[in-house]
Order: sequence, then C-alpha cells, then structure tokens
Amino acid sequence: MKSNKLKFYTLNGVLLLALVVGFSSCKNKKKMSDISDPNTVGQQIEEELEETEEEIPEERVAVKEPTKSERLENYFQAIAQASSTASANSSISEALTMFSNPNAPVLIVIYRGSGNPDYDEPTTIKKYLEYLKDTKNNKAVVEEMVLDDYGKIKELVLKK
Amino acid sequence: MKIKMKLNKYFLLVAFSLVAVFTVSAQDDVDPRRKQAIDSLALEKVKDLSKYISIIGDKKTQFSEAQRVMDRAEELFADDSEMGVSSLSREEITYYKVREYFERLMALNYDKVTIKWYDIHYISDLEKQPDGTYVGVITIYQRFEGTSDDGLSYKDTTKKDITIYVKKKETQIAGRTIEFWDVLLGDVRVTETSA
Repeated sequence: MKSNKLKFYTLNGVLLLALVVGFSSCKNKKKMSDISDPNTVGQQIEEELEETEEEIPEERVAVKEPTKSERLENYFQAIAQASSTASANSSISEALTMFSNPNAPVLIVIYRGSGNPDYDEPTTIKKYLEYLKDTKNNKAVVEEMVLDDYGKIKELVLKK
Repeated sequence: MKIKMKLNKYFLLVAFSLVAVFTVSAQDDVDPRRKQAIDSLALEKVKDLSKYISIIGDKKTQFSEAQRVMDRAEELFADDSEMGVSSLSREEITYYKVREYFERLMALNYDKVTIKWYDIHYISDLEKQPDGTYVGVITIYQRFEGTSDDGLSYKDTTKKDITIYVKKKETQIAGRTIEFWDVLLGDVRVTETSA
C-alpha cells in the first residue's frame, strides 16, 4: 500500500515536471522564432534606421555660425532700420552686451592712404549706436575689434 | 679748376634748396582722395544735423529723447555758434545760440511739425587757412511745415549757409595717440526765405 502511494506521487511529480518543461520549451521556441526570422530582423533593423534618420536631419544640416563682426553688423542694421524708438533701443541694449562697457572707444576710418589712416572724431559705442538710431546712416563696416580677457569688445575700428 | 668747383658747389646748393621747397610743398598739399574724404565727412555732419533737427522738431519725439538729440546736435557746433531764424511775416532775421534755437524749436506751438533739409552742397570749397584750419561753406534748403488741430498753419522754405571748420587734432585712445579730423559747424545764416 505504502509502495503504491509512493509510485503515485512519483508519477504525479514526473508529469508535472514534464508539463513545466514542455510549456517553457514552447515559449522559448516562440521567442526564438520571433528573433531568429531573418526577414523580420532585417525589416526591424531597416525600420529602426529609418526612424533614426527621420529624427536627426536638422542636426546634420551645417549651419554657419555668424562671426562676431557679422553679429555686430547685424545689430547696426537692425538699429538703423528699426521701425520704432523702442525697437531700436532694444537692439542697442543687446548690441551693448557684446562690449566690455558702453564707453568702449570707436574709431572710424574715413580714408586709408599710404601713411596713417585718417579718422573721424573718436566716439564711444553707446554714442555710435545712438547715432545709427538717430541718423539711420549705416555706412561703416567693422574693420578691427580688440577683445578683452572675457571675449568682449573693448575697442572697435570701423571703416566708411 | 677752382671756378669749376665753385660752380659745382652752387649747383648742389640750388638742387638741395629745390628739393627742400618741393618737400614742404608736398607736405602742405593734401592727397586729392584724402581731401575728398574730408569734404564728404563735413557734408555728412551737416546731413546728421538735418536729421537731429527733424527729431527735435517732431512732436512725437519724447522729451528725454529730444534732450539727448539736442546734446548730440550741439556737439556738432563750434562754441557760441548761432542759428538764423526768419519768417515770411517779418523782414529781419533773428539769431539764437544753437542750444536756444533747439529749445525754441522743440517748444513751437504746433501739433505737427515737419522739417526737411535738401539740396545740401558746398558753395565754397574747404580751403586751408594759415593756421592749418580748413574753412568752407555748405548751403542747404529747409522746408518747414507747422500745423495745429485748430487749423493754424505756417509753411516756408529757407536757404541757409553754414560755415564749416575742419582741423586735424590728436587724442589718446588706450595709450595711443590718434590723429583725427575735427569737423565743426559755425554760424548758420539765412540767405533767402520764400513760401
């Protein structure tokens, strides 16, 4: 009687084990078939690559950073062409952040012959920007910039 | 032999004198392109003044802005320069110091004022004076229009002559000596007034 009971438990255990092994084997087989199908894998890779390409086109476009002198000349233009005093003042404030201080000297070359250049009366950057606002006379271009240790303009030479 | 040596000596003396005279003369004459740049610079200062006068006269200009522009405009003039003011209703021309002229202009009793300068040109080229200053005269035409909401209106055109002084000066910038052309405007004289 005792040996029959033991046989019964052993059989049950073996059946249960066989069921577990069989089930897990089926699940792994499904997973393996999902991954190992070469067509599906290739398609997945292609889809992922396409998604990646769609996400980064803006990063790949080469955008030329304006130089310091170009940025400054853009401000000159914005101030001279401002539609209102408020707009011009706003551009003046922004342009002044490029300078070490509002009294940074500005030299304006009116003629460059064989000797020393001929200058207009030296002014300051604040006065020059206000001059652009008042007269709209934006003929001068940046010829030289002297920068301080922080990369701010401490002296500016313009050429008419 | 002695005569020949003496002749050579005289020849050398004359040659050196001629070179010296030409050198001084060359230093005195300004390169024509440089002179043109100086002419343009002076003309530009007059055009700047015309813009400043329009801003000061414009009733839409804020008081603080007008004061700042007056300071800039005043800096264009030599000390004690005067501005002539005429009217169609009277014969005489009144002269005011430039600052007083600007303040009177700003306070004109109209609701709208427009002032335009045009046909700005030299009538007397810049000529070098014995003290090194270049002096010339620029003529401008000014169209003035003042109107009030109650119907009051005044319009005239005046021809004005402006004396220009240009002199080379020096200043120190960051420890360097910079030579520059200092342009100053002198008296502004009314020569014609018409409707």
